[in-house]
Amino acid sequence: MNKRNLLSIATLALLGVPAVAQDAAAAATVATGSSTGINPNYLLLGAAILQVVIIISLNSVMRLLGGSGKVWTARMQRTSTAALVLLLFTGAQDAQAATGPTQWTSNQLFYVLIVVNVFLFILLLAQVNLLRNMTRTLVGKAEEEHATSAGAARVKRPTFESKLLQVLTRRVSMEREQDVLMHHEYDGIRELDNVLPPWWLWLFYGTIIWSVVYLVNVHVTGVWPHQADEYAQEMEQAKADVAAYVARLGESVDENNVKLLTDAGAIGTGKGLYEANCVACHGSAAEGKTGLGPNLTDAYWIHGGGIKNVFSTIKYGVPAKGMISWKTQMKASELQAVASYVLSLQGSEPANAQPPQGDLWKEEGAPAAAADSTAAPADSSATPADTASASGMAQAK
Amino acid sequence: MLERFHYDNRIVKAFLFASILFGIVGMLVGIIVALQLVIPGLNAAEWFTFGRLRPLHTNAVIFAFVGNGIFAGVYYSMQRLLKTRMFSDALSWIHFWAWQLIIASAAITLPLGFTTGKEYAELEWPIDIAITLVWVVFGINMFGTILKRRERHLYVAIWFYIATWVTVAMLHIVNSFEIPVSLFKSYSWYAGVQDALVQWWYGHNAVAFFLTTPYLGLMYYFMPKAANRPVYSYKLSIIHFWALIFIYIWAGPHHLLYSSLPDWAQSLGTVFSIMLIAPSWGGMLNGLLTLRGAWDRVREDPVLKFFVVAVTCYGMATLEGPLLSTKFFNSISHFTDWTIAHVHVGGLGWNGFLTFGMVYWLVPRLYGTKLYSTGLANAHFWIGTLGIVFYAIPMYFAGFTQSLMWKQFTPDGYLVYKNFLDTLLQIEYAYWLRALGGVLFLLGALLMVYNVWRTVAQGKLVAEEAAEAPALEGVPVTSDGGYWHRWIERSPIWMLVLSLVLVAIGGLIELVPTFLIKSNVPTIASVTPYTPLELHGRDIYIRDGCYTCHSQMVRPFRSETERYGEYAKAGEFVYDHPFQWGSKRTGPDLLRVGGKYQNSWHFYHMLDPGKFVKGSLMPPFPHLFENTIDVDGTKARIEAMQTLGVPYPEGYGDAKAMEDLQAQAKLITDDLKKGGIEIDGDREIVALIAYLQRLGTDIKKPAAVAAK
Repeated sequence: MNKRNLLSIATLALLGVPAVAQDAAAAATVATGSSTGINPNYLLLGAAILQVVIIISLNSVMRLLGGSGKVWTARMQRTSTAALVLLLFTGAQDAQAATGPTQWTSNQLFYVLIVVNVFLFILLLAQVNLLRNMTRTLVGKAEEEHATSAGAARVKRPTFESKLLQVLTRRVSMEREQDVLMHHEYDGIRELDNVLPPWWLWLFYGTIIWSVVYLVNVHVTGVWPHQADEYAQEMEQAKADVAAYVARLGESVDENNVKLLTDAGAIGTGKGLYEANCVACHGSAAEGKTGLGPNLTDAYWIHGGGIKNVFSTIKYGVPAKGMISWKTQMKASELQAVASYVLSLQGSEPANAQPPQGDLWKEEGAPAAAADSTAAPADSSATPADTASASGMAQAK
Repeated sequence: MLERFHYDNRIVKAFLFASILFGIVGMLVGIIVALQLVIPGLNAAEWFTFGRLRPLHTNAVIFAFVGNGIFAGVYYSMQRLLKTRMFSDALSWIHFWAWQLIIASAAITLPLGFTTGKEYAELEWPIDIAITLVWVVFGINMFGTILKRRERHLYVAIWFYIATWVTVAMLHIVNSFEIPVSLFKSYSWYAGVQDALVQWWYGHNAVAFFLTTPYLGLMYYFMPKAANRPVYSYKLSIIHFWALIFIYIWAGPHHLLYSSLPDWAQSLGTVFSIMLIAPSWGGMLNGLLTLRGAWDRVREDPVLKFFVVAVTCYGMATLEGPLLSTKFFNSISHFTDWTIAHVHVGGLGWNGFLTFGMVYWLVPRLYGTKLYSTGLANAHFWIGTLGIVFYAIPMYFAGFTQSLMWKQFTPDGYLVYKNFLDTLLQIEYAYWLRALGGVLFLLGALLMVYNVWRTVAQGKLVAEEAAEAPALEGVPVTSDGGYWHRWIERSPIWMLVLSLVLVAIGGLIELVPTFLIKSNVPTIASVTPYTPLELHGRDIYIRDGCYTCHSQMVRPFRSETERYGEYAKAGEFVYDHPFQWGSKRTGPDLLRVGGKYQNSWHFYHMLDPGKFVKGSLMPPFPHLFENTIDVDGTKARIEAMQTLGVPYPEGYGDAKAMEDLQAQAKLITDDLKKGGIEIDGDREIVALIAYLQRLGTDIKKPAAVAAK
């Protein structure tokens, strides 16, 4: 028995377990969303590197063991090459995360690393398997020699694996193949009369049973929901979750209580949102575009000026005029920021400005009634989950 | 009495070379469309846009590459398995040339925009009829050969060929029911939910009975031949064959999970897909276990290598497919690149590699020589495998990534990635890698072309291969192990009938109730037929293959109703001949796009999406601004729709339709004019805008509210 061999397997097992544990721990960290200080990605990367190191060192062990066997050597080389390629791939992703134009979020990197680790782990398992085969062969040879020298014809004892395999497949061994060879032949093709592999048959029966259970549960007992019910449940759950979150946060801005923001931070946020969402129709300097969106820098407003009206117009849109509703796309605080930014542009007189449209707006004479022109957004896409806007609408009415 | 005869190798050679040629072409088009997705500028001309070339790619690889591959393998193996020459040389050659003519007509008509808009069945009605005729020719030739056989029993490969023939005939005829409007324009006989069900019953089983069962037949011939080993289990062949063809036909609705298809039909799609795992794996097992005792040769023989990877890919794809048919996985994978990865594991791995293995095995034998270079074949194997890896893995990642991004919410109830484009740009890198995978796969295939060419050059075609066998009368009936199944193996007509009955059951049970029971498609009072202008717009939408990137199916998920609006209802689609639910979202869903943007927005957007929406990967459609609406065809369109039961007033097509069309066009051009845009009302863009603005708005009309 080669002790060194066993030793390496033991080492591997010891090292492999923490690697997996790390994966699990990292997954748990992400799942709970708590940031405990250590980025799980580093753990995962560490685990990947560790696994590669193990794979490579295992290879050298095995090369020592079976250096004469060409087949083994070739297979081992392939394993370690694959491991290295994978690691390089991960490394490249890392680099891309730092510099690439399409930045990987740490979340995505996390999934990449998980997959890489799983790959590596499979490689490791394959390698352990190979190692065990090698050991067995080496040991078997020794036993054989022993048996021959003892002059006793000993029957090989079936291993657990081979017994299990036999139960699962019930196949006729290659040596006794002649017994199950069928008489017919087609263009030289013969067929064996092996039984259906039991594991396959169980799989088949299993899927049939599952199917019956599925159909009964969905369509007879109704234990499992139809898709419309699933949807209703999902929306209800979301509504509750969002309400709980908003309640916890204590923040809800709507068109009745919205205040003009003037701090640089909010204006900066608003500018970013404007550039991402509004320039297509209103122009990069809010100068307006012919046939698309009006000039927002002058004192004339079609649907009322002032923070409350602008907020409301952005939030609900004016579907008849082509201004879309942004309430599902921006949070209340974002709507406030972008409205504030737009108002900060008053009087900026950009180049190519569109001529004024609408009425001259005077802040003093701004009654809340101006909301009437925009507050009837018969928007059927409003969803129960949209609590913030739903409550806003209720108040507007 | 020993009879002497000759096998016809010429026809095999013809089909085999056609398969190689169209394989190269199909892969090349595949690379072009892959690049068009990341380089919008590559959509260089009206006929050279993704929307028109993507159907060309799928049709070329399915019907030209795999189709010719099937015929090559069938014509080679059937003669030998039945110990006879093909029934009729004339029919063989009619079959060959007519099939190539169909391919050529597809290559011309698809880029020109002649399409039915139904995936994998895009070819227009005259070509559909031609396909039917060729299929009949193939059937006569096949059954003629079977009937004049010198072998008493049919080998398992032949069972698969028979099932293939009869099922494809049924699928093609049922799905191609359409009413011609003009020489190259037709409307599907079915509408909306029903059309979707028929289409995916067809589409799924095109995979099953065009890409799978015939190739299983080929595997059952070429695998044992190449390995020189007996087939592992005759019993497994019997069970998995009958189970496979019976169950496969039911699985179509899994393409429509979480859609407006009734729940019961969706559930049937799910459970029959799950039950399909074992029968599919039966084929894989019988293939791989046949290699028992030949694994040492797999290391040296490229043919076996290709077969092993092909069968393994088959096994992977047929496990993944059922998993994707469960609600859980489908809610993630549908409309993403996961589906694309899945089909390419099957397409590149199973069909591609099995074909390549077959080519490397057949060509030396057809030319009475050895393969020119085993080394090159091995290189092909490794490059091809690498190609599959580089194709599939990035697409899997793209699928997961995009789906997760679509579904992610902030804790206060907003979509994290509100802008669809962000989710697309995130996976742009994967699209590049996928193109690289495609290039590698093609490079491998080009190595094969060179190898085949040199092999042909060093050999000489054995056009007529001499063989001898006793006449059928002299062949005894044997029961061989007491299998009752031996009876049907010597009764080909019964085998045909039984196959047809088995594959008809699933289709009938799913289709008939969906057509006849009203509650399956609850009507909505406010849903009205398209106006003539909208109808033209819809035809343009179909012609330019918008459905290849945009779905019209908002699924009942919070993430979808939040992004797009109310989820789709079955009653909304009753006038959609054909349905346009789509199967992939490279762009956002369009079901509720009506009224979302201004007319001028659509105008500028279609003119140059990349300029209008920064980073957009949608190609420009400048031809819409030059081409005029086919108003001469308005009357025919309205009348065709009336024939299909769309309730336009009597005689509407005569004059009123044209008045309405012009009035609606004027409304749009006037609106555009207010924004400083001058465009003639007869341009296609006007019709397209009319259609887009109509989409999904019917249920928002007052009548819909009243109906509630």
